[in-house]
Amino acid sequence: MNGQFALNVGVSNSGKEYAIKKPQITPKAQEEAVAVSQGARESGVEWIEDKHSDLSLSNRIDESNLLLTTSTTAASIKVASSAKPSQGFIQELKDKFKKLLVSAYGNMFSHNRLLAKVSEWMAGTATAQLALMGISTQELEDIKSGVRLELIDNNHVAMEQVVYDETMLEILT
Amino acid sequence: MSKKKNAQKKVMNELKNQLLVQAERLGIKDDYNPIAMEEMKLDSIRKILGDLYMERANLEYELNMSGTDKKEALIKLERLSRYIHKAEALIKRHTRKFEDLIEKGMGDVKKTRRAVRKLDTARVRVAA
Repeated sequence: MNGQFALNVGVSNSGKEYAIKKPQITPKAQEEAVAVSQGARESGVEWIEDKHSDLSLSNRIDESNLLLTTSTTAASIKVASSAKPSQGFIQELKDKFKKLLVSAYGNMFSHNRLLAKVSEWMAGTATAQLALMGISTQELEDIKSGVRLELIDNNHVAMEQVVYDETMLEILT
Repeated sequence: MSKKKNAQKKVMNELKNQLLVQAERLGIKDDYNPIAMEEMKLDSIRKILGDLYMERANLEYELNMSGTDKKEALIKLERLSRYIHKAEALIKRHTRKFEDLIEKGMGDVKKTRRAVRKLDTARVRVAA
């Protein structure tokens, strides 16, 4: 039902496009214009003045909708099958998510609580996406432990530097 | 000068606190226990003292060389010896503090020594 609604919108939009187009004045068009003024329609359908006219028109619309719906679904399936992502693209995506995981996991241990909280959520999302892409749990754990070890090293170096600076300040002042 | 010094100290303390919070989140808070911190402090003082000794040797060499501004070298040397003196006093203070902390960690020294003596292999053999 929703598809039909969407299609109806699409049809009306395409109608708008046609409405914008400038009419080409050709001898054939002139003939058609004369025919339309006499009661004939461009589509070739004629209005018959009887009590069943409304019914026949609505039936026709339903039929066309059905036709359009079927053809559109078939097309979307075709698009889906032809737009299968390449292996390079998948690898690129995996690398991007790995990078995101590394940065988010690193920030999870930040002294800034807000940043840590947001990073926790981001790391969770990245982990879930990587798991969906087929990355093993072992690999994910390896990434996390690598980041953690690097952070520990950085923390030690930074603390030593702070203590050194503090001592220097103590001596020089 | 004092205001500037206080501001610098404040910044240092803030940095230290942030690093300690990060260490706690990483689960390595024990790496920064008082003994480890004192050890780190002693290391940094030794490093600074080594640099100062090196600088003093350079200045003395400069002083003995001809064609250099002796007055400037002497002023620098005087200032440097003041810093060296301060660093040496600091190293003594922190060494004492470090020893105190170690002793505190060991508990009662006399009792510990008695316990160690009891564990002497010869005594254990006789008792058996």
